[in-house]
Amino acid sequence: MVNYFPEEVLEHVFSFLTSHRDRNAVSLVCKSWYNVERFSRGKVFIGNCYAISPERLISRFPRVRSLTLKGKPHFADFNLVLHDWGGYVYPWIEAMAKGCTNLEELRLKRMLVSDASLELIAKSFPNFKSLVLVSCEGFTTDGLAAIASNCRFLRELDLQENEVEDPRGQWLSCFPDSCTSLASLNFACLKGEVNLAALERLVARCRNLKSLRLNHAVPPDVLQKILARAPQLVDLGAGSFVHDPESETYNKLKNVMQKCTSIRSLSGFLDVNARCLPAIYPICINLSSLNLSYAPGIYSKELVKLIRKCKKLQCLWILDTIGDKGLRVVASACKELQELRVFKSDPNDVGNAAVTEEGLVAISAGCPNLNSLLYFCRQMTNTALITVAKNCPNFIRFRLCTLDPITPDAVTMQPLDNGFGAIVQSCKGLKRLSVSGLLTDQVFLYIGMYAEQLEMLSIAFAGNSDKGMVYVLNGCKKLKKLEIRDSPFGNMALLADTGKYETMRSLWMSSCKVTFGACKSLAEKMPRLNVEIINEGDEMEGGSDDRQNVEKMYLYRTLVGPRKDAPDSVWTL
Amino acid sequence: MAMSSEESCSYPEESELELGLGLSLGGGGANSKTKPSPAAVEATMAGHWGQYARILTAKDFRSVVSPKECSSSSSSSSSMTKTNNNPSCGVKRTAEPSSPPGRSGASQVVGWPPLRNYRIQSLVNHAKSPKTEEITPAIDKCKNKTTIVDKTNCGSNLNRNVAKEKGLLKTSLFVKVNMDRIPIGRKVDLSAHSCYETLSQTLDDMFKLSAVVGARQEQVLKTRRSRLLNGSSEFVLTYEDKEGDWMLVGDVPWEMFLISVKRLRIMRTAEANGFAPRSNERNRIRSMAPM
Repeated sequence: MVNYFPEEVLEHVFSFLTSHRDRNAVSLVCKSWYNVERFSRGKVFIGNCYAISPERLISRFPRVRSLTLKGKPHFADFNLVLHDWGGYVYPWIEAMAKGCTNLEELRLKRMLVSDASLELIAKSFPNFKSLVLVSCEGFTTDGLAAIASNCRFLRELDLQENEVEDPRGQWLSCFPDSCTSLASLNFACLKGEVNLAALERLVARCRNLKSLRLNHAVPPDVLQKILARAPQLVDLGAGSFVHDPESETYNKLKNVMQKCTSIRSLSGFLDVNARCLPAIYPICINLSSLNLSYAPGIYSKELVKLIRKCKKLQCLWILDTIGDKGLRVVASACKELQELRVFKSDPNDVGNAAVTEEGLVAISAGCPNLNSLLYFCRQMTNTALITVAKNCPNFIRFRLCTLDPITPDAVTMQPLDNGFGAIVQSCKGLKRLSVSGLLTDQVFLYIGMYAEQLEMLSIAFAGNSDKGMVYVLNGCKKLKKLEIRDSPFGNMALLADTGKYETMRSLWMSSCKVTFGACKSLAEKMPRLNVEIINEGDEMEGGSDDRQNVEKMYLYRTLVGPRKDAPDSVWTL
Repeated sequence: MAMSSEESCSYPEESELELGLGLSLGGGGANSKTKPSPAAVEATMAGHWGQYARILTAKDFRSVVSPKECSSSSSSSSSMTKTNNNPSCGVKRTAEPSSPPGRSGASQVVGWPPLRNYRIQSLVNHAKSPKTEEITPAIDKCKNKTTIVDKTNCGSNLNRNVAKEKGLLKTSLFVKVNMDRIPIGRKVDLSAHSCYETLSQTLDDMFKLSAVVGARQEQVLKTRRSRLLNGSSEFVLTYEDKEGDWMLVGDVPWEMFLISVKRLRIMRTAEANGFAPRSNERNRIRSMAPM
């Protein structure tokens, strides 16, 4: 195909392509399109930081302004991966600091971020605007102080669920008086004190502040003052919401809240006196997103009273203290609900809070637009899942987690194969699925047959034999991430289709029946895969027996060979 | 560990229920030192801490050990797996659906339920604060509470935040107090009290209980303390708990009372049917009360 258009025109056309997928596709058309695309690419998404090196990134996309990186495998969230497995961001920042200083945005997930990295960011990128850290660790508020002090045009500092050490707590006052550009500030995960006066001043001078999520340490009277200064807020995370309902502060807060008519998203309530919730009733009608999953202090009755007023809610994250009864209220009140997450309130399950299949069925009946679900429940039935599948064919994400990972259908005692089968059959657009409960190979047969768009599958304690895994590998053509734990899949399944793994981002298998020998032979056969074995014990010391089962294996495609920063306990074969 | 082979012997062969979850133990698991029993449905999860668990099928009703959930519930998620320190480490989980809710012990599995560490920590930290239903050990009530009372009386937010970090934050806890035959109720701040005695005294003052008694005022003044509580008064103090039940005040440790009380009611002894005279029956009531 002859290229009739000058490059500038192509570039202009490409500027309308925002999704990575489209851009990637375009770059494959021909050499000249590849070149135009790569010079004009501003945003790059790297799903596995070890799939490519920072140097190669910069050489292909020299003008990258926004970089998203993901580090540890997903199961690291659940303590299945060593703390020091890897995912260091420093080499990336170092490389960017040398070769690509117009970096403006950095979004990291499950990576190890040191204070040194943050300091390097602060020093190296004069236009740096946005830092989003999700589930990261390794840094302290000193690093944040460096960002606050030096990034003159900082627009976004968003810390989600990170483990942050807080030695001094003065980072907030490091924002200079000249900083007025902040639009989004989220420090809800910080455990320490903040300089309240500095916070108030910061809010007062950042007229574009739209999103603000506070931590525990911001007391009610300061919250009230902040809201008075920032009625333009669209997203609010209240840290502490403990008032005396008879107090003057509470009264003022009520008045101020009424003026916050722009708030569409509410979260936090880490400490809450449920009797103060009426203060937020006036804004409920405007809410499209509500996250009360960190607010165990709100009991079911108050929770339901609140949610009932949120008629326009699209996204709801709550704890299972809401109960099936509460979910029925949600189903009747929140007709536009698209995303629901019900978390376990009691990780050790010593209490009685729980939701069951009944709550889910009620939701599915009342909220036909539901497309994303994460549901921690005590029990489930096939009938319920089949009903849900019929009511809500639009699921994109469906993640179920039963308290007991191998609990059968609560009524028939049968495996839950048919229930999940119905889900995959009905929801043709399903991209992410997590199964749980008693499951045989049959469920994987269904998944392989019907889940054509599936990209991520999480399996735990399921299946009978290698056949299960093979069904999935053969059937799910778009599969990108497969993570399996405690399931009886072994060498036959692992080696059935080795080429498949180059079409996927990664495969995790732990406590399965895969042997060392099989992993070795896979690694030998596929040089463009890194096959990592993670050992915690010392059983691998003596040069490893090929017939030994591997406790944890993580393999991923890569263009840059084995990584050099793995700790001793991680072997790349 | 001997435990495992003992258990494997006590289980019938459940071949029809074989899930094939027989994760090979043949030297494979990290710290597993047991030999697998080929026919039994047994799985070893050799996690970080050398803990192992059995996965039982739905028809297996004979689980025995209930792991100590409470002891591990107050620490971080990694403690879910530290129960290997407990010598009775043959952790079992039932798949029995009819088992009482919340007692399946599934939390002993590494990384299950799959909740982010961050989330678990924040829920656990919340559970540590006195506002929740976790049972706190009985301590010398008055002595312990004076420190807390100081902190609540301190108006400054800084103190409040400091106190909060130590899990001691108590905000005001106003509850309604109604008395039989009196239409207008009162409110009392329970967090301003450290023990039943002071509460009782406050209520005495509020409702002028001694005045009602009338002529016996001198006697009343002397024995005023705990009259409401020792059953010798014309009135008896009761409260409604979280579950909606009306209970006699004074049976449980003060902290536990604070956690469960919703409102108070002063009833006339004659009308408080079903409440046995306290002095004789205290122990009996205690032993009957669900703990």
